[in-house]
Parts: sequence; structure tokens; C-alpha cells
Amino acid sequence: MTQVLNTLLGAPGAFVLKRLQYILNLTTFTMLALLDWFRSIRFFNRQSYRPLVIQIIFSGIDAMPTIIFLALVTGFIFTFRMIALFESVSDTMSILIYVIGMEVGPMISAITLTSRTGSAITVDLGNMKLHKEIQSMEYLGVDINRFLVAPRIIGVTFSQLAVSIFFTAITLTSGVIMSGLFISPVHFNFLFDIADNLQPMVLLIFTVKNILFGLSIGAISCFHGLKVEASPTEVPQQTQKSIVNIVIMLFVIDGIIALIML
Amino acid sequence: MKSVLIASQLLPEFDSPVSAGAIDLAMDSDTVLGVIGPDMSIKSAWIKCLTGIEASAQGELMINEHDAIGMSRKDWQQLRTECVYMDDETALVSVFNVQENILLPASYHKLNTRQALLQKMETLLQQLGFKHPRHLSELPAYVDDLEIVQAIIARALLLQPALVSIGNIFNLIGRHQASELLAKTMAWSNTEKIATILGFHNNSLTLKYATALLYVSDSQSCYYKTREEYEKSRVKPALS
Repeated sequence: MTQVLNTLLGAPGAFVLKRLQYILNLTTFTMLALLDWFRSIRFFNRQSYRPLVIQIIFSGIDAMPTIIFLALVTGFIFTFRMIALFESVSDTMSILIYVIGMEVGPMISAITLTSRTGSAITVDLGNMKLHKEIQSMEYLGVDINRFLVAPRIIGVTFSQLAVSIFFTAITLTSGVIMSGLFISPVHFNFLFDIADNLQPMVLLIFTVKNILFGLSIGAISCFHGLKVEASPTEVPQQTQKSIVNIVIMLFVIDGIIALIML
Repeated sequence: MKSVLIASQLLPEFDSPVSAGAIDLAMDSDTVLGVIGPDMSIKSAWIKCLTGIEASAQGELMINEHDAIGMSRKDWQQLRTECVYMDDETALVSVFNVQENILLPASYHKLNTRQALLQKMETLLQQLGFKHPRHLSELPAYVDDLEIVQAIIARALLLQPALVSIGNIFNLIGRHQASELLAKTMAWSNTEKIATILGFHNNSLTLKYATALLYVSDSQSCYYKTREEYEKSRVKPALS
């Protein structure tokens, strides 16, 4: 009986332990990197922010054309269609704020950032590790956490928040404008209704969710990039693991926040 | 003259069991220590241990008056600016241009103003014979092999270290170019009073410049304070 139970519980138990260990390692890795950065940063020195600014430009600003296009398409597919489907103003408001604003906007922004920036970070760090560029820098006293890891994590977090605000705003506005133009001019009033219905708590949860999304994307992609050891084949393997784990983490965070909001 | 490196009963950690004994040695700022011997992996282990890159199995090591054994991560990072290490695995950062690569560690450690570092870099590159029609800031990190090696050496020397260790960095380039570049590097080290550790596959290149020698193999380790001492040693160890 014990043997049967062990066999039945062994595999799921090992799976859960492995996942827990992964989360523990990831959290330690992130905390150490951020601590190293905060300890060394000179808040009024422009040079201290250079790697961070470069990361924000790559993750946030360079991604804008893609984000604008996706936001317009999402505005049509979700916002416009939902306004067309629901007649009650309060239902429409709830759908727009809670589904588009709190779920679709942050999630599509995060998935775009994962596929664009997350994968690039893993490949970049993986190749640097493979070609001993990271080791060479360490041997010259450069702190990798401070110079490579933390700016990427913080940069992606800022970018996720900014991109998500931008994406959600365009998605909601474009959908409302389209429905105002093609269905009824009364629908233009939804723009003011959305603004009136945005509670501080909703904004706070939106911010926290995006910060957690950004931290996850930055930390997981750096973590897997630095796991590359000696073979070029490890780079695509770690990139794939990184993307899959980020997506899983995004849904887990989203689920936990949805539970809290119930 | 103050000792840049003092090792007492030092023995590296080896991947495979060896019967070589621990050594005592001291290096002044004008010492060029040549690490010679038949096996490259043993030489590398000794050089990495002497420069504090890797942990030792036993003994004490002082580099530029810092206790290099069991130091904190932060102190170790600080030590890396005073004792630089280069070998065949040393690489430039591919995402930066040559200029940023050379300036990176010195500006990261805030050793001087950017303008002063740029000036020193120009002088250093001139000394090392770096010539390229394009400006350094326009040159990607994947320039030709000689220029990569020159940039790696310039990057290390820009830190103004007290001790520099040069391993098989010249593997990438031809023997003649390697010999010329090493001569130029040694001239800079002599002028700047930088103690140097040399260890190459090619022991004759090491012997050309060494003022003191450390012979290492898997069964033996002998330190010779001077070249004369090595030349006069009754049983001159086999180098190959």
C-alpha cells in the first residue's frame, strides 16, 4: 500500500518540489541582482542609469510601432465587438474596465514583451556566457548583477508598465471611437464613463500586476540566459524554457490577482 | 621596494590529483614571473591561483597588500582592478564597439574622467601598435584577431593594475605578431612598473622576458628567484 502511494505521489511530489525549487532560485537570483544594483546606484549620477536607459529604449520605445498596431487591432476585435454586443452601459463599463483594462491589455503587452524582449535577453546573455564575455568582465571586476542583470530586470519592468498603460489606453479609446463612428455617436460618451469608473484600487491593482509581470519577464529571461554553460545548443533550449516559464508565470500571477480581486 | 605578490605555502586546487608541492614566492613591481612547464592545464591552474582568480587548496596569498584568500565578493571585484588576468578565453563584449570595450572596466570602476581615459587609451593603443583607418567608436567588437588582442590588452592595462597576468592570449595571432605585441606590452609594463606573470604554451616566449621563474608540472614545482638561479640549477627540469 505504502509503495503504491509512494509511486502515485512520487512523480507529482517531485514535480511540485522541482517547481518550488525553481521559484526559490529565481526569487533569490532576482533579489540579489536588485540588491546589488540598489547598493551601488548613485541616484544623481547619469552614468549609473545608462544600461537601464538602454534597456528601456529597447524594450519600450523600440516596441512602440508593434504595440500601436496590436492595440488598434485589439481595440477592434475586443473593445468594438464588446460594445456592440452589450446594451447595458454598466455591463459595458465593467467589461471594458475589468476584461480589457485589467486582463487583455496587461496580458497582451506582457506576451508581446516576452516574445520580443524576453527572448532577446536570454539569447543575448546566453551567447555572452557561451563566448566567455561575461567571465572576461567578471575577471575585470565588473559586477554582472549590477551591470547586466539588474538593469534588464528593472528596464523590462518599467517598459511593461509603460507599454501596458499605452496599449490599454489605445485599445479602449480606439474601440470606443470605432463604435462611436460605426454604431452610434452616443458611444463616444463611454470615453468619459471609463474615466469616471476608474477607481484608485483598480489603478493600484493594474500597476502591481504590471510590475509583477515585468519583474517575471526580466528575471526569468536573465536567469535562463545565464544558465547557458558550454554548448551553443543550450541557447535555443534555454530560450524556449524561458519563454514557456514566463508565460506560465504570467498566468499564475494573473490567476492569483484575479482571486484576490474576487 | 614593496612586494606586489607574496605567496606562502601556496598550492592550487587541481582537477586531477598531482604530487607537486606548495611554493613560497614574492614578486616586486619590476618582477616578470615566467610560469613554465610541460602541461598547460597545470600552468593555468597555478596562474589562476597566483592571481586570486581561483581558490587555493592551501597556503596564503597577498596581492598588493590584500589578503587574497577568502575575501568577500566585493573585495575580490576591487582586487580585479589591481591584478588583471588575461588568457585564451578572454573576450571582448560583442554588443559594444572597440572603444566602449576598452573603456568599460575603467569607467565602470570610475578610475578617471572619460576624457582622461580616452586620452590614456589613445596613448596605450599607439604603444601597442593599434592602427585602423576607422575611428574606434565605429569599430565593432569583431575586428581582426590582432586588433582584438590589442584591445583586450589595452582594456586591462587601462585599469592601471599593480600586477598583470598574461596567459595564452596570443593563440589567436601568428608567432611573429605575438612576439612583437608581447614586446610592446612588456615595454609598457616596465615603464608603468607593473609586475607581470607570463605563462604560454610556448615556454621560449616566456623565458625571453622572465626575470624569475616558476617551473610547474604534475609532479614538481620549483621557484627560481632569478634567471641565473634557473640556469644554474643542477637538474634543469624538462619543459616538454
